[in-house]
Amino acid sequence: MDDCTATVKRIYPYLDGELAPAESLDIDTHLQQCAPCRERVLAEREFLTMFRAQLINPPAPASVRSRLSVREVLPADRSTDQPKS
Amino acid sequence: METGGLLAYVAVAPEEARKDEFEEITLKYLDSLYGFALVLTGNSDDAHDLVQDAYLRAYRFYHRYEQITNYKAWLFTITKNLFINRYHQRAREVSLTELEIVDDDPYESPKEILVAARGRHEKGVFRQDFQRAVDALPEKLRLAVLLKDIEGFDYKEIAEIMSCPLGTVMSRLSRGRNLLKKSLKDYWGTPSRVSDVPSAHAVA
Repeated sequence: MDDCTATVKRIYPYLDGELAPAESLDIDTHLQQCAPCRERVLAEREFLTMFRAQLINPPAPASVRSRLSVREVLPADRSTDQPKS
Repeated sequence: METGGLLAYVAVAPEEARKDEFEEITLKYLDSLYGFALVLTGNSDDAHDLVQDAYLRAYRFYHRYEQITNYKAWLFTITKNLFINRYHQRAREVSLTELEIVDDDPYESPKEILVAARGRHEKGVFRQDFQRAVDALPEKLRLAVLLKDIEGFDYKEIAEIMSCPLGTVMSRLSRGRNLLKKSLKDYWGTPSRVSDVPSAHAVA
């Protein structure tokens, strides 16, 4: 596997900061010498940034929140719920 | 009984405080959990139920809070486990098995997308196209992309949440993102042929 192929294969772990330092350094070194790969990595980074900015989790419907309550977990009669020590 | 009354008071007050604390810390993640549940279940009714069950389950184990190093990942794991327990007999999981075998996906260059995106940003169709491309992803790839690119988990956390090896996370993420780029290129009429990396694909 040549360096360009290796870089493309690891482009996501590299951009996600998931590579071991030595591996990351290998890519850094290659990027300094290879303009097409450098351009590719920059474009991919820009794409991820743009993509992430577009994808914000929409708020959960109000009905979800309204159904959540731990108030009802314990019955009013607490004698049945001995706290565990 | 005066002693009983006093004991009851002492026992109740911290419990109430604990509930408040639990709610405060957990509701912060509600939107994320719902989004996750929606992808897992595929419909809003089941997602409602799943979030509700996960919430109650999290509360039940909340006394272990001190030992939980990553609360958000813990909530996601609870949600996923509940989902598996409840829905694992449904067939929808199975259909994706073969996707795992293919680990060498063609790399899609994002360059055309970046160029096409510049013109679309103002038109307001931008966000919907991204959402549509994500929605079109196969479930497991969509989950990997959601956990990484929306929720910001690292690979190890995703592997734990999804109970899969780290290599599978990497492969799903890579496949998901490349498919996503391919969809966007298709929507926007830009060529989606892989011409960017001759050395990587001449062999394939």
